[in-house]
Amino acid sequence: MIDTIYLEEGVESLPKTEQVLRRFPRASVIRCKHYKEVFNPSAQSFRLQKKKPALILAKQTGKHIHSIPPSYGIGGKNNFYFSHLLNCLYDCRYCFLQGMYPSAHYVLFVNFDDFKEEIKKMAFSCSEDTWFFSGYDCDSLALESITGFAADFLPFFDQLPNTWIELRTKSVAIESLKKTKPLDRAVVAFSFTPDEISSQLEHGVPRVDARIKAMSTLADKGWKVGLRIDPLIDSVDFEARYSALFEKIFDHVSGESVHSVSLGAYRMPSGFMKKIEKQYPDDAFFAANLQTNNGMIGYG
Amino acid sequence: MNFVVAFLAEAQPVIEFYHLEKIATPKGIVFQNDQHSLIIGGLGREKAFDSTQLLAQIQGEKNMGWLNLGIAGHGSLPMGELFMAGKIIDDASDEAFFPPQIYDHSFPISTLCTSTKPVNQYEHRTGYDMEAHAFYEAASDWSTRELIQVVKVISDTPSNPVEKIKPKEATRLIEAKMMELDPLITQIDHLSHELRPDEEVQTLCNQIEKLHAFSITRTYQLKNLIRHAKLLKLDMKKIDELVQSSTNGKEALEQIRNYLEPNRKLG
Repeated sequence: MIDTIYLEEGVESLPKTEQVLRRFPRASVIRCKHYKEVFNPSAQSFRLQKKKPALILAKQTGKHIHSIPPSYGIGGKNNFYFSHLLNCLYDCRYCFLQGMYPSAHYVLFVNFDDFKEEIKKMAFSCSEDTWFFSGYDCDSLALESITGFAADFLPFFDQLPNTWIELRTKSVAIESLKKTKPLDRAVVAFSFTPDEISSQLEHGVPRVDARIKAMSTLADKGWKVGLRIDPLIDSVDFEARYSALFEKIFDHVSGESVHSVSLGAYRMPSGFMKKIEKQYPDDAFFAANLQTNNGMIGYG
Repeated sequence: MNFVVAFLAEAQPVIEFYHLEKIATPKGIVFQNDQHSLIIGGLGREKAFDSTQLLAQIQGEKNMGWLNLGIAGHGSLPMGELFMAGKIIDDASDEAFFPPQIYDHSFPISTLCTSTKPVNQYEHRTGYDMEAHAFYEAASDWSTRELIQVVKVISDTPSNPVEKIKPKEATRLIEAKMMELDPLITQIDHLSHELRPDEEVQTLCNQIEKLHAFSITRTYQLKNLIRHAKLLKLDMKKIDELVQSSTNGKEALEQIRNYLEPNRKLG
């Protein structure tokens, strides 16, 4: 799965680095001074790299957690996100990551303890419920077999007072959650588009049925699950397709076990969209009725 | 594929394998066939940079495949082994390139140091040449980095130092690896084709432009509309009719736009 690993100077002896290198004993290891030497140069093709992304092991410096604007309307009073991983296993044509990053390589920040330290400080400084979201720059669970993120962070979050974690995913990689006692303040949120849209746009993503099954398995085990219909994608038979999706989900997952449902209109900074369409001029998604409004692209 | 090679002795196996023929150019020694081109650049950074730029200008096309092929020294791999450069360091500036490793092959991947002078002190796990970094820098102006690769066959090692290499030996070493190298070249060329503009769209636009005049902006808009029409699987004959019935380019664009508008939905 991973043939090439770039190793940033200074992370060689971190436990997570050693763990990942042991997982891929036959990978070619290439050393770099800073991950941006590999990740940031111009004249890279996200499209071509996506065929075989490398893994970059690096250290996240600077701020590890970031505020989520209140206008996003999710979580509680205090909402933050953090990115232990940049880029995603999947290749969804509507995803902003393709426009935001110059490279499709996965960057795993292996200094997990630094993230935890900052999260802890923030959790203890807030008197009300604090929410942390981990699936902004990646899928929270899809690369769990490499990152061990959920297995590592969930016990940590369980110890923090008034602190919630949302894992957002399109994955069925729920093994580590099945082995863990459900946390009182954790939501595993699954995002969906209808089958017909998923098969056209969500390349490499498990089938909708498989994801509903994963969601149902976790709900049955006592995990709080979330339903994220985000982004909403316009298509022929829009209403019928989304109705069928909701029916299918609630045929298998009881409404009582669903912690929350959210809908998100499709939106993308127009600069990102231009970059993505340039990479994939042959994709029908970009021929849709998308319009620009205040620098954001969405359905007209 | 565009090959950049320092010497004729290294180029000879490629010329013979792909049946390339020498072409007349005002500058540089260039060999070609329908699919591949090869330039013999000479020794060192400057010549590698200039010859890569020269071949790029002759080709005049973006996002083609580029390969710097030649012999190199190595601190740990054996004589005759072929390796791909995963990191190319310039010994003068310490700058590095990291050619993205997206191809299926069984060659070892190694660091390659482009040095100013021939090297006789070999570091472990490091290869040595005198051109790759400059080649990569020049080719990056013309292609996306995934399509630019460096492959070297090991000609000298700590136990077989550089002074002993003869031109015939370089030819023999590379010749022995051409069969292994060919599938990699095919893969790079295949991905290069994936990035090329849609010829069908271009042909249709050219036909429309023969009927009506378009400004640069409108030419760009026309190309996008025709591309979208194709993606939406719309009837191209209908577009032809709309263009034929229009009195000028502006009207033709408007007609095509109106035809697309209600159909702009994902299937």
